[in-house]
Amino acid sequence: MSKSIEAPWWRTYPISAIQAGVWQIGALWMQAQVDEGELIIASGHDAEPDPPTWRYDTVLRDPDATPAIRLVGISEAIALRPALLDKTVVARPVSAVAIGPGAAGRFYMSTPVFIEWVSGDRVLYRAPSTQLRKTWIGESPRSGELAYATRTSASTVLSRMVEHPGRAITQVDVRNDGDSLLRLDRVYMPMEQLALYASTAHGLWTDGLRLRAVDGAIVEARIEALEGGVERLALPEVNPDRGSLRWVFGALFDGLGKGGWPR
Amino acid sequence: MIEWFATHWQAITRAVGLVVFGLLAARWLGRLGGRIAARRGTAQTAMLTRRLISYGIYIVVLMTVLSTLGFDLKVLAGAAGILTVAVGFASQTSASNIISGLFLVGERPFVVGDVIRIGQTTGEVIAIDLLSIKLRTFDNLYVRLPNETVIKSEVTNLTHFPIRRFDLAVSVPYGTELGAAREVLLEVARQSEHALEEPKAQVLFLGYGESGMNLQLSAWATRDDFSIFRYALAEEVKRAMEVAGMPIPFARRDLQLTEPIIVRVDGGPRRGARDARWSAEDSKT
Repeated sequence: MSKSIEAPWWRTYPISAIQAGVWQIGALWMQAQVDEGELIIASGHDAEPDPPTWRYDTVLRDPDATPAIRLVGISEAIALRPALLDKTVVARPVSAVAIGPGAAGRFYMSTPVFIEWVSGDRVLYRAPSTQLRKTWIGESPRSGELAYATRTSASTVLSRMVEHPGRAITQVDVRNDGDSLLRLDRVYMPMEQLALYASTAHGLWTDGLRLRAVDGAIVEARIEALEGGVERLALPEVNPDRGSLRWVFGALFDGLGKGGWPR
Repeated sequence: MIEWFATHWQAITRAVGLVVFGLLAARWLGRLGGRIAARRGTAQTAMLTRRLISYGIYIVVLMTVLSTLGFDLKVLAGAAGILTVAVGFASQTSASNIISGLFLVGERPFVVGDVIRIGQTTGEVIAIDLLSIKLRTFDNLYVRLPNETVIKSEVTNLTHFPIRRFDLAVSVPYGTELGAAREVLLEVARQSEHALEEPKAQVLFLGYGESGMNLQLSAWATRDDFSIFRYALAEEVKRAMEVAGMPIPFARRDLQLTEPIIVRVDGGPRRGARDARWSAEDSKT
């Protein structure tokens, strides 16, 4: 039995109601079954469905799937909720976006989210909506930080962005005060510093980003809270830090300015 | 004896008081020093600071107590001088280990929890003490290495940096186009679950080998994923090379014979004139 795909997938499920259930959220499937007081969760990734959607079935996908976790003593309700990734995401637009000298542009990018199983305030289990790969951000293998890498569709037109149940859209405003073309080949999204929102159409959004670049280097970076028509689902994991925002976005553009990774 | 106690009870009381106070002070100040050191340094710095403070206070308390009880410390100092020379000769190795331990703590080439390789031994550091460091090897053996040995040896810290590169040597048959082999290897790295997207994987040409052309695939992974990545990459490369029609060559020798040789096959069906001739030759032998 398939349930509505119009409603958001993030909500509370009474344990008594979960005897068997399968959630398909984009490429991610999560299967839950209650067996002798144990809540058994398995998950995995399929190919990305087209169009991206989510659905819930009460028929198990694979009763013998290897459990990712077995939870005992869970008597309360379980909530499924989205959460932004806990590290910076290096998003590579499928097709590059460029901003001319002296021009400003707004574009939209989407990044995967975690789907979390929550009981009370405790996160019991979580899985990313798409398979994530790790990458390294740093001037050398000696110093830097780990991040996630993803491919993303970037568009300057909001109507062309497909709302995906497992991805959050970020609005990025860029002003190019330099004399050369600014190419957006990869974008460093500080996900842990952004809040998560749900739109009235049940799409996921993050705080917006406003950047000013001169000669390929970010000279100003600001996080802007979304307002109007959205409900905030989660606060940022860490407080936004202007300094770190600048360095994260410093490597935003092709060529990285003159001196490599600014920090 | 009772007389001595009667005349010295005040000194004895003071000495007992000093011992109690000294023990408490050593413990408290040692902990305080350890806590402050822990904030600025590592666990072993804290441990060393705690011990140095405690032992220092113990020595001062001991001297004070002896002095209070009326012992002549000058005599003790003289005896200590002779004792020091004797003990010094006997404990050269220990002293060397202690000093090496101090250098290890100061230099910090590794900390507790790191995985290091010293000589033939690889393991996780579980303790750095005054005389030795203790390792737990991956087959769960407990290895004690004197600090002096560690200081003198080449130490490789396998977990110092968050990411590591794995170099996988791959040989491809001579009939293979190098560019195609390179692409296959890079694609494996791109698709590998544990390989980092950046730093990017590279393929190097190492040379022409006996059985094939030797390449090296260098890809990066986090130190936590490294063990599983190493195995998975080797497996994925072998599979991909076979699928691409570039099976990894094994050692082979081509023999060129200057004269033909006669091969006799024993058993099996024999048909035709040649078989008949061979039968005749067989019957002769």
